[in-house]
Amino acid sequence: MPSHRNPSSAPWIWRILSFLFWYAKEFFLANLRVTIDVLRPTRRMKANPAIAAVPAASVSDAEWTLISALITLTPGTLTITISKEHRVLYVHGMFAETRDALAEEIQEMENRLLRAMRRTPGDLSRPLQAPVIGAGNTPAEEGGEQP
Amino acid sequence: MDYTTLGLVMHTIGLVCIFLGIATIIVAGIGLFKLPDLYLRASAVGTSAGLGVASIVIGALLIDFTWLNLLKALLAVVAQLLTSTVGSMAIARAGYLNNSLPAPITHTDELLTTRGDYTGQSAETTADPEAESQ
Repeated sequence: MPSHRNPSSAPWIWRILSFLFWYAKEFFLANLRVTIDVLRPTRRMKANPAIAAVPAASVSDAEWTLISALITLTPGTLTITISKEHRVLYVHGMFAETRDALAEEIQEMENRLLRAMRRTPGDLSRPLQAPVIGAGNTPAEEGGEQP
Repeated sequence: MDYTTLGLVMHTIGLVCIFLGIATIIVAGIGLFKLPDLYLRASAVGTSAGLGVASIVIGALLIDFTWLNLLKALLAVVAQLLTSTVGSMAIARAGYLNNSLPAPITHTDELLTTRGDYTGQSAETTADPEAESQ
């Protein structure tokens, strides 16, 4: 999912600065959103949580650590666990209209982070759907990936 | 404290930061009571409380500004945000491993499919408690 506002071809320093400002903006917006929702009467709360398995493009330990910490640091989203073997982040989102919306949001954050962390970001493409994992297999979804 | 214009401005901004921090922590406390499950509480409250403490530290720095205090405040803010983040993740993971299922309003749970005792229920349906007991 290429983002047009932060392409891999932009200068490295620009990608770093753009990530920092973008993250600061997201952080405060998420804070505001969670605060407003907590103060709403319980019956009208908009919390719509989901736990999604989001395919990730991170490779090194530093990338895995940073992306999961930054997801958790944003109020409303929380990394429950990761699977490096299957390259999946298990993310709990508080305002997930659909599973795909949550996964897209997480993948956009990861795209921006990886473009800021790597001098040459390389190929960041990965499926949006969760890979099929484990013995108790779910009905197959398109876009299963190789570990 | 000094009574120059800059000193007064910084003092005022510092007080605003401290009260914002207090408000954030109060909202986080209300959230603990109102949110239905462990994961919502950890994600909404864990980092909000961290942000509240960080905001209070910054306010105190602005009221009593020295370069040494700036260094201490930066260290404190980074450590606070980092520990509240790692703590939230540890609590959420421990909760999931100890069968604390998400509240019924959680419409998708794809982590459930990776459990050893998973019975083949589709990940797209609502996570219901019976899937665990079978």
